[in-house]
Amino acid sequence: MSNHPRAGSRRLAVIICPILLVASVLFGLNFGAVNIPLREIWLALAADPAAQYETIVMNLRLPRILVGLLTGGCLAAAGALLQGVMRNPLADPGIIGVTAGGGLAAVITMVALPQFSYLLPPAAFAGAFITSILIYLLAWGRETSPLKIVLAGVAVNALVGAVMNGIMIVYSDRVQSVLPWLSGGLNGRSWHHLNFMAPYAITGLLLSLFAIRTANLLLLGEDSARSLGGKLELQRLLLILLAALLAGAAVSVAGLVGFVGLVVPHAVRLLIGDDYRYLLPVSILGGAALVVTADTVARTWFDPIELPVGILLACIGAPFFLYLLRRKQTRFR
Amino acid sequence: MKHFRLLAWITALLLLLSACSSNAALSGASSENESAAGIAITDFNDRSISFSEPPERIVALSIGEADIIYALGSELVGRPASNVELRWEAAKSVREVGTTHEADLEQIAFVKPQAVLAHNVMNASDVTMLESLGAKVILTSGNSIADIERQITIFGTMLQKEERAEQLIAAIEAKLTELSQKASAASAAPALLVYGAPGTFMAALPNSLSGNILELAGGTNIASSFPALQNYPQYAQLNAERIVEANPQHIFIMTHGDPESVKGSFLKEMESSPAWNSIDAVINGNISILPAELFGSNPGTRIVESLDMMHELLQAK
Repeated sequence: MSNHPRAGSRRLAVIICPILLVASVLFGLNFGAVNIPLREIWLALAADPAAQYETIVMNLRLPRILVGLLTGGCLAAAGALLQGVMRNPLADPGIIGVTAGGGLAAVITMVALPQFSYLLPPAAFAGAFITSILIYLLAWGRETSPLKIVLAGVAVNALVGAVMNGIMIVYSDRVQSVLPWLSGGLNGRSWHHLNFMAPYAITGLLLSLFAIRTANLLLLGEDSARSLGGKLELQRLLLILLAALLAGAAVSVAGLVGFVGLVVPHAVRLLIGDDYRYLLPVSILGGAALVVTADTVARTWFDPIELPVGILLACIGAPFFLYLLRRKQTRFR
Repeated sequence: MKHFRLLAWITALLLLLSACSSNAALSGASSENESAAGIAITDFNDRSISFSEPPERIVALSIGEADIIYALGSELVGRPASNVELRWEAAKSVREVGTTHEADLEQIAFVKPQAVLAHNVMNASDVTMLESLGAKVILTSGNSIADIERQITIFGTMLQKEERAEQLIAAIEAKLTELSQKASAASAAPALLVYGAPGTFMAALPNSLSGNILELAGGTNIASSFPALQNYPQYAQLNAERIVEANPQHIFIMTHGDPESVKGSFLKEMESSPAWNSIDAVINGNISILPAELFGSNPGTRIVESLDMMHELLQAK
């Protein structure tokens, strides 16, 4: 490790990321639309009977922060895995249909069948996961190459997107209510949302740590991965399913939060390199800290209204991403 | 350099063409107006429209305008396609011509309208096309009770039924006076108007129609306590912390779905959230679904029923 040219960056990232994560949680607990003194926040967290703001701290801020942590971690992990499996730096959960599938399920549930709106999280999860499997099945053949998956993804995304837009046009008078969800937001996310997503998210995150070796093998290229004894097709399928599970868990509760799955792993890769032993954990921690911080800003800055965190993430993520790309270009020139 | 010059010429040409076409569209409307005489009205976009005699072939693109036309004693040749049924029996057999969101131009052309009643924002870009079908377009909307009264006045003038229009407006004003006299502390308790689906926190602001109905029926919209929201258009996603802090005594839900099943869905969402459960309206079960025909969009002259219903719901403890 010490001989690696990025050993210093990696050590720094391993130290800084947990600190950033803790700082983002404290930042999220401390700031909100309602101004709560620090002492009151600690009283609420300690379940002190004298606490005046227990509902806001314990039932709004804390579960929302935890949902944000899992959402950011899952999306970043899914993006990191997909960028490796597809050998494509622009891969993100959208490429395997998670965004389109989750979006279609949400639009059907919220716009066409509002009486079943309480089923939104499971419906969005199912929509995201089923669409991912559909894309893989369509790309299935004697050899399921990443290019075939990407092309099948483009076709299915276009079709699902068209159906979604069609429903939104037919029910155009109801569209307003689904827009915050389609932009990705955490407003009002509470313990029952966390309870729904946590089993999938935590399982996915733990499994992703076991997928590090496979992801590193795939980095070597298909021939090398085969020669090292891997069942390439099966491993690729498992990693895609894992990414779908992770992204589906995030989408089910947070809506279509974009950019995290693309930008975070890519930014981390630019800083500390491709090795998944570092890339994956640092991406998970970085994604979690980024979503929680951005969400705190989204719910505080524009008080009393809320800006969906997905919009803010795109506004922050796009320029940062471009900055990193330009910096790297200059360095390699 | 040569390319820049070419680009500059093309840009200038495009700007000139677009300026000419927009001038042509505007001058087309005014020259028609100059040639006509008799009835003159001004719509919500300050466009002057004139008719030599009251139009007999009228198309309405939303329920509110359709209701006003029938209430004035006239009829439509094209009515909006909507889940909400018009209360006028005569309207049921009238051809559907789309909505303000998606006007069906072929159907509109088929009924050969003389006047099309359209939305002043959503249909502003359709004016040229609708006028090319030979119709005059009146752009209005009903985002407040004052707007609805203004619509009644404009349509009454257009149909030369000014007296009937005054009666309809007088009925609304009488209802407002009656409700202001009945106003009580109970009805003034803070209320939240939620729009759409559970979990979205999309709230109707005081400058929306339902927000206006709530306040004129004696209620207090919690969103009205935030001055920053005054410039937001109609609906905004309120911060959940602000809602819990305001502790609304009533929650009114506006939906386009089946009221009872949507209420069940909202209740399930609220019951599973400890934050919602801390709000008085949820604790006391003061959650009501507002029917789409009276609150979802402009109800026309049925606004009197909307006011009555809101007042009644506000009395619930």
